[in-house]
Amino acid sequence: MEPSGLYIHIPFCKSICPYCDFYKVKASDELMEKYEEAVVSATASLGILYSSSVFDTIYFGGGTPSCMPGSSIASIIEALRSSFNISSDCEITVECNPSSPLKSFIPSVAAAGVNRISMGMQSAIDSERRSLGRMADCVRVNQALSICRSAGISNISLDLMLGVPGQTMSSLKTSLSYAINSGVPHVSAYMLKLEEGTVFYKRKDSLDLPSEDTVCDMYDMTCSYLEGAGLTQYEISNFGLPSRHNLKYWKDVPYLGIGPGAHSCMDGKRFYYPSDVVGFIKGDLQCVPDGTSGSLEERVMLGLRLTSGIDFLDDIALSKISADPTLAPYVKISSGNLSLTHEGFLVSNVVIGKIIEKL
Amino acid sequence: MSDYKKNIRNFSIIAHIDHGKSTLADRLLELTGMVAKRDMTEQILDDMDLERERGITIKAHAVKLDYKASDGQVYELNLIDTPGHVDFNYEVSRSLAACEGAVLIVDSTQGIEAQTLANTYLALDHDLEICPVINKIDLPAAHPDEVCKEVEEVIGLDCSEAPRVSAKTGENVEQVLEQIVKVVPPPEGDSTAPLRALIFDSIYDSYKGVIVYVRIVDGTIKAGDTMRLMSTGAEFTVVEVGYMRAQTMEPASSLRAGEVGYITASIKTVGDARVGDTVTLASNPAPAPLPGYRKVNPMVFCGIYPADGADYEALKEALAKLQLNDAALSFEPETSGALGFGFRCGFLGLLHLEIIQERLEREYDLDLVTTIPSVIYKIHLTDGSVVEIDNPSNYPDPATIQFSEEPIVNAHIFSPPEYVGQIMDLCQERRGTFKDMQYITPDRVDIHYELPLNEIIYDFFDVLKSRTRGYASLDYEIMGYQQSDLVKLDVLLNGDQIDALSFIIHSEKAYAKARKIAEKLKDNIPRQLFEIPIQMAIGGKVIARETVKAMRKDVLAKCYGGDITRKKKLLEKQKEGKKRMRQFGTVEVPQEAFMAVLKLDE
Repeated sequence: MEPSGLYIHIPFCKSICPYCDFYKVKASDELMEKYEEAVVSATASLGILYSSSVFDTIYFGGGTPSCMPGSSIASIIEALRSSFNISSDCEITVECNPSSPLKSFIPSVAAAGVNRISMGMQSAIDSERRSLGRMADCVRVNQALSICRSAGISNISLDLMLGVPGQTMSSLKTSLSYAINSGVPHVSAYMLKLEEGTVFYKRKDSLDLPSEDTVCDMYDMTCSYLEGAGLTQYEISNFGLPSRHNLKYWKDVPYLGIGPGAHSCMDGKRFYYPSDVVGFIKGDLQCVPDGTSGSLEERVMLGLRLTSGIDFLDDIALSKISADPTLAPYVKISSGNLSLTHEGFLVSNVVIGKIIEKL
Repeated sequence: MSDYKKNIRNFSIIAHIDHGKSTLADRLLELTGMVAKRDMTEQILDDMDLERERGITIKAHAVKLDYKASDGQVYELNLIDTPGHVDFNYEVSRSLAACEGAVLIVDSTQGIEAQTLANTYLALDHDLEICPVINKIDLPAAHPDEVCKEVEEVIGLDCSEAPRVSAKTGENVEQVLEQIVKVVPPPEGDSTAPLRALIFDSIYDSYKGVIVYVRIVDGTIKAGDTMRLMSTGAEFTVVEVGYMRAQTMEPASSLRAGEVGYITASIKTVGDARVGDTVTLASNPAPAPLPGYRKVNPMVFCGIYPADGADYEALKEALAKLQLNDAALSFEPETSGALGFGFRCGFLGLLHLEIIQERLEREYDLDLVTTIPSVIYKIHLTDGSVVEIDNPSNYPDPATIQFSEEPIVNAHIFSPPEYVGQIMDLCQERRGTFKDMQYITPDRVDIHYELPLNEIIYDFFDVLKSRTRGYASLDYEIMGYQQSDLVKLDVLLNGDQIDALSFIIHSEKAYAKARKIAEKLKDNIPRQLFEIPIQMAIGGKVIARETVKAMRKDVLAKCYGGDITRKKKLLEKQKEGKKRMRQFGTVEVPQEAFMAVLKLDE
């Protein structure tokens, strides 16, 4: 049985980015302190419940984990280690915002065992970053990277966004070459999606957004540029040395999420905590069941996000898929393996839907 | 014994739509104590929801009222309500044939309208005595003196004794009853002669079977008799006869010449007891039926399909149930490559179509797709034969066509003179031939056009109303067939013809229509994984073309823990959406695209 992953949601941000629809609240020292205690105490009971599982990844996502004191992250890691069966080669990732006080944060979490950092750079162009609500300038990003490396963490991922207000093909190229030149082993590149309930969504008509065709061109360029620089694409939006933790989502491997808004998939069941930080701190937040996991449909829909594709479909299904001329440009089938082409990734919602119809 | 007839009055109320017919009927019911005031819902006679909502009477109804007149005698007044729309002209004529008199309501704020005249002429054709009634005198815009003058000048009816009433408030309504007693003659007829009873309506009742509404012209009928329908020879044993009251049926020992009442005889569908037919007795049949019977034939046809193919049986059942009560509705199964299994349905006119469609959706909770309505075309082939086409799918190979004919109507449009220009523009656009124009009064014009039926079955009435701010009224009758330059316009998606979107159209109009449809389809077919050419063709010749570009982007960039449920829901939604799609070859066409094309307006 493949080891599981642990996800810890840190629902705090110093400022709220206009495009983000994740669950988060404004950070306050008092709330964060109580939150740390709540996670630690949740850990104890969950540890008993999942004592038979081995975990080989821990992922701190947010929100902004780096707006908590490093010592809090360290305490949580310590609690996780004492409550769960954590493997010795555990990948421990923390999402960081370059504008957080990383000088004290990084060394402290590195000492607690954090060995991977996901840096929310979004763009190498200051004006684009500002339009995304990211105030740190590029110098700050440079500093953040060297702080990580000084602390012994070289497994760093940079986040980029495609299709952000004001972005052009050439400004994107600048961001891409920045990422490559910085020497990080991993890049995530996400096409911006306007999510309901965000500031961007409300302002969508007045935003200077690149056209859909341009965003497609941006995606094409990103894939070929990163690929050319040796960061091999392994998922629709991910390139380079894979995040072991994130691979679990796409391979339908179990993961346990802790914190308000965190989702879990354990023992074939999906469930999540409601997005209620106060309730979580009080300790009376009940997980909400969210269906089962592991169905063929689900494995297809997740597995086809990976460039490696899926190899568990039978010949009948594969022959139906290859017989559909409308799918031809979007799928690759070879020796029992099915994957999407680059063009297929861009229209993957429809392509995956059509493939599932044929199962 | 023969005295019983002298106190009977059989009458109809005729009026233009919205002139207050149903409201007046309600007041008459109330005044004669048929309905206690507390039981009055608005417009008792219109007991179908749709009728009440649209303010029109679709099916005729009848009711017997007992009225003690000012001369101290009690009269039996039989009010035979008539449908108020041009689609139901035949039914109106049969109702009128059952009467000796008619109350003509004229709205004192509007004056004479198209159907006022049409119905009056119909009533005069049946030698009815007409009592004009000037209605809506409570409204500030009422001008009863002018309207009286108009009626006297245009129709030639003396209005000096015409009651001026407000059916709404009840003011002077009593005078209407007095006028009926005074003006409408009692019925004639011999109750000992062989039975001749005119069917002026029939409705299906789930307990009693068909309830046949009749006017006994001669003879007598009672329970236990064997009745015979003279058009078909079909015989039934009479279960019950009686009179219609406002909310009940009142069984009687017999119905005699001159009377109006109902017969039940375990008849299963209204098609077996059609409006206009004559009922006689098997034991002593009348030598000849009453004149004027004809089987009403549908004029307008369209395909009706369930949006969800699984509802086919439900649709079939619903249509069969509606047909129990509507002899004019026809349907037969039809298959479309685009829409699957459905029915080709025939209607009297567009209102009739709309009513059926709405009842199917409302009363039977069905989601429907309706194809473009068609009329019956006569196609003369080179081999000398003639085929009648009501479905574009059956359109013959153009190479075998010698010439085509289409039905033409005589249309009268009544309007204030300031809209004459707009109305003539509209009629010209619709290929109308101007016949003449008459000033009925200084502020009312009768514009007479000959129009192809296929130009008015769709949205003509709505456009007419909107261009004249609701002031124009329309009446039409089929006058015959005329040679016409018709073509069949086909829609091809990705090279495949979509049968449900084909239609027959005049060649002059084909190009503009083709472009419009192609654009609509382009706007309503979502981008798919490949480019979709939309072609509009006549025969093999493409006359308009659009392209739906291939979809380039539909992707969820982030899919981590919490996004997975979301993505699953997205897939579910996609599947749901798919149900509303029609697969055509490789192309998926949403229901909405069909609707958009079918609803194609000006």
